[in-house]
Amino acid sequence: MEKKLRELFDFQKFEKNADLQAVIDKVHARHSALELSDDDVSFVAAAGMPETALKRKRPGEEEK
Amino acid sequence: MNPSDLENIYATYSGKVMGYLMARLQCRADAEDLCASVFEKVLRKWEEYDEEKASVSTWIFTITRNTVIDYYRKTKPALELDENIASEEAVDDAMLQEETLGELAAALKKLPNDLQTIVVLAYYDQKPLTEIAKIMHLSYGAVKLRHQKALAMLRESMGA
Repeated sequence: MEKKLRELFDFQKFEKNADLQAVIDKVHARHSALELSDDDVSFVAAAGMPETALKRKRPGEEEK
Repeated sequence: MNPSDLENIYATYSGKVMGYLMARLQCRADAEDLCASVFEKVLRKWEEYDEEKASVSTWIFTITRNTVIDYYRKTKPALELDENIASEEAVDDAMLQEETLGELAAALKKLPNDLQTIVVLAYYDQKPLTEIAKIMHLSYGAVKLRHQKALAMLRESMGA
């Protein structure tokens, strides 16, 4: 069974059967949602408090 | 093969060949070189193609896959090829059909999400079970057990 699965998934990278690709994409989506993107990571400061990473507006400072 | 036949084959299969090569090599320049090599072989071997043995798609896939194996042997001889691409056994042409991919999709849909995840990460993404365990926040032992359960369920669904 393992060899069959390896062969079929390898063939899928070539043939791209729509039904099977939908299953693969759903699995990837489920797991990428658990991982932060690089952009999201940049908003998290070392202390883990997102708002500290954002530039604070000083009194009298105009927003750009 | 006349030029218009080759043109039709190229138009039909170049996307699939490049898609596979990019998935394997992750380098566009190398993929493009190998793609050219694949179609040179298709042209050279066309007279040998036997439609009773395999579909055109499976035949071209086999050429593409063997081209990747040769590429790795030449460029990374010290690298231990993974079992998936190292096998010198003939690809089972009867199994490699669009229909069988559909059967696999149907069988996977019957699995619970966690088992589906293990199968896709292990066999499509080729991740080891240790890495899958970290991704799924499970122990290695738990993933190993679930992997076996997934295989048993797929064997039952697909009659393998």
